[in-house]
Amino acid sequence: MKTVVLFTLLLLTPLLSQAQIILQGQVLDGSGQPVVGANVYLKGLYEGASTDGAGAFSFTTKETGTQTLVVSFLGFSPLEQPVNLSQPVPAFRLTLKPDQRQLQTVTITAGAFEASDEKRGALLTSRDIVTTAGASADIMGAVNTLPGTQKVGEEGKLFVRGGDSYESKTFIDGLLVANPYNASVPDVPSRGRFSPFLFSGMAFSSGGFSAEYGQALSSALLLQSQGLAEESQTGFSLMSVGASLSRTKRWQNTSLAVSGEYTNLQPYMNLVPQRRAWRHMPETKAGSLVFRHKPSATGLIKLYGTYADSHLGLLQPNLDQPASPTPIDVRNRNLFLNSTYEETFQEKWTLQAGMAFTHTVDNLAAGDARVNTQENAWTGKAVLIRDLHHAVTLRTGLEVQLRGYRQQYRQRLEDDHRTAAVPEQNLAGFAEADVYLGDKLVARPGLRWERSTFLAQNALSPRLALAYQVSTHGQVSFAYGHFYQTPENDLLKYRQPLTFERAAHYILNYQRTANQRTLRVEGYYKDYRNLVRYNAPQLLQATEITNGGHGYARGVEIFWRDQKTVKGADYWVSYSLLGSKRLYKGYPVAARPGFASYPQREPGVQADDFPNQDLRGRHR
Amino acid sequence: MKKLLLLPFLFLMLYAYAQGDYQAALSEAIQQLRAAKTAEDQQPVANKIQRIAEAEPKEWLPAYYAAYANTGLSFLLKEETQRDAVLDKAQTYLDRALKLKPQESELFALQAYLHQARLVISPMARGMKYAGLATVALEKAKELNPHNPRVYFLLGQNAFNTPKMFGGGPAAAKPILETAKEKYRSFTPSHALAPAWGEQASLALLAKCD
Repeated sequence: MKTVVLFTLLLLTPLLSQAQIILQGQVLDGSGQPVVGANVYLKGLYEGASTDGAGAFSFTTKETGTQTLVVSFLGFSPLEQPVNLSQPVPAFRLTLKPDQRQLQTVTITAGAFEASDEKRGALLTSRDIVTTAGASADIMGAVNTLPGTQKVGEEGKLFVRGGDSYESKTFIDGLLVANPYNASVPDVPSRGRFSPFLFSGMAFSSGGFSAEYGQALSSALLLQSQGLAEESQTGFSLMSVGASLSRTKRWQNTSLAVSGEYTNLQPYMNLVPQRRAWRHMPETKAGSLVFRHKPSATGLIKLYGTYADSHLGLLQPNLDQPASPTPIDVRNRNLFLNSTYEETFQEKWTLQAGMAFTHTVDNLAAGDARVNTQENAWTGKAVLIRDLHHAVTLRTGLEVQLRGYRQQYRQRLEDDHRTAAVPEQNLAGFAEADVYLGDKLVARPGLRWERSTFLAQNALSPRLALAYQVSTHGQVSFAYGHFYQTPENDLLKYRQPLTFERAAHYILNYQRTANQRTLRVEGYYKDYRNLVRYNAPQLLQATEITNGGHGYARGVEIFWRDQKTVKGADYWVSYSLLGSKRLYKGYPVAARPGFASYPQREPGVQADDFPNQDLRGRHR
Repeated sequence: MKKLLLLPFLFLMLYAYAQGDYQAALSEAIQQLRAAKTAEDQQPVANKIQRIAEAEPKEWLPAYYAAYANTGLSFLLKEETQRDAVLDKAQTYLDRALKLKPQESELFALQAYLHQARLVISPMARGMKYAGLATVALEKAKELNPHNPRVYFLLGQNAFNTPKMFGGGPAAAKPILETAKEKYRSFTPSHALAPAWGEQASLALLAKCD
């Protein structure tokens, strides 16, 4: 009998020993609005409840002693609070703090255009790049439809906000690309070297960009390469102008893709009458390799290599002797290797390290003149990112560039070779922080230091970007910065005492995104100093090269994209107004450069300040 | 002496009590999940399952259902950023479950379901990527258990939503969904909490194939 009593007692023990305590209260956000659907519970226990439409919660617990009350909801930092259950608990009034990084309610948009499949709030996706009409799946071609760019048909390169093409630089996974364009000849537009399918995201900055990027006066095009290949596949394509073969293999944590390609425009050009007299139809042999490996859950190693050998030849009209056009022959060989490693340590530190190598050989024959150029460029970079607390992210990094440039030149076959060489080492360091000041304001101060051994010069560039949310869907951004760039090898090779060219950017931007419609208005002023200038119309005749040039560019750009109004259609319109004058190269006076004019005009001829207006539209 | 004999009993009972707690609580939540029709209904259930998953870090089933409930929630929400955010949450629970039971066919089937949920948020932009990822996950799920009916349901759904010009469409989906029907019929859950969803949706999709 005693045993039975004891047994019954034992059975009841768990129930008897537990008195119930009621926990109740309300969960609010920073502005005092109720948070609906938040999870409120005791840490490590099942007991808990979700907040109702008024942000209220109530639940009972049988626990005793001191426990931890947790409140969590999407877009907010989890809240933890100790609670003593040995005594009656008064009603809670809990306020959740928004998690700035997770929400990204306010982002810096001045000068920046993003295309991303993953990132929320990007203005474009990578598919938009591939399908942009008239761009022929060329990245540079697609970027050329965005506001801030000037379409310069005969070049095919990026010209941004009154800047020359050399002022725009391309970066793959953060590493500077020494030679992003395929070789071409005057009046034949060049194409970007890289297939848009290699990339999962792109950010195009027409000014005011991060301290992480230097050696560009006007703009940075940041390309983010794909991660692990999704599945194994073999591809073969046969076109009227060539063929390509590719093989992708995917293992658990590794993928490898190799491809080879041959293109020859001969069949096409035979069919379509050409205005140019071709001697050697554009022909390209290329191969590439893409390797990806995940050494851990958060780490990723990327390796990309490509080699291309292209050749073309044509007869270029000669104004002095119309009867005998100049034969031109261009052969370009380019090897490009890019490798990066990314790893996150203890969930707080992220390391991004990378190395890139470029080897380029150009053989140009124009009439009797021969120019052989060889360049080796090596870049190494390491960036450390650290989340300091919920509202501050710090980025610091170091960058080294070693470049060896060598050119052999002779005017006539019987002349001796003239040789020029530019050995350059560029060292840079930067620090930058994203600081959220409340949930409506974000600031990004940064500083970049740069040293060029060839110029024997140092440069310090301050950068600052701010964004403030003015309404639910609208925000205002401001960006300011100094940008330095080493003059081009073609100028350095004369070994005149030169220094960095410099540009200062001031950008003000308003962006409103609501209901799948985006309006973006941006105004800017760009001030150029120390532009390289020489004392003859052509560089070859110059006897003096100095940093005596200067210039400015100012303008307004409007971008409108609408994916809603017309069902099934998506269109965007961009409008650019640009006024620019500069004194550089062989210009006798400050003038609007040819690439910033519409329609194209010769530099120096048109010295008025009539602005260049350009309206472009696009729809699907 | 007799009393001492009762001691192991006591421990056993406490253990059973604790165990029963998790299974009973999860089982109750799964019932509620079936009944939830709106985001307002589903959010509290998802929260409840998350509480169980947080308290039972060594059990794969609570993490599995936390991922499943959040994936389901993404279909009920309207705003794109919120839908992606709950799927991020679902993915963290699924990753946790995969760590606990790396060779479980159901987890790869759920991974495919999650990829499909990402896809429907923006089919035009994400179609190619996530349809491919879903296929890879389903192949793995099938390899681990060729009798898992959810594999065929999701394969059928993938095929149904793939444009005809890429080899999809109702005609391509029909035979797969027929197989799914067979597999659901012969499938018996190994225990009370074993994943058992998808049959009604699979049949409804099959009906649309004609």
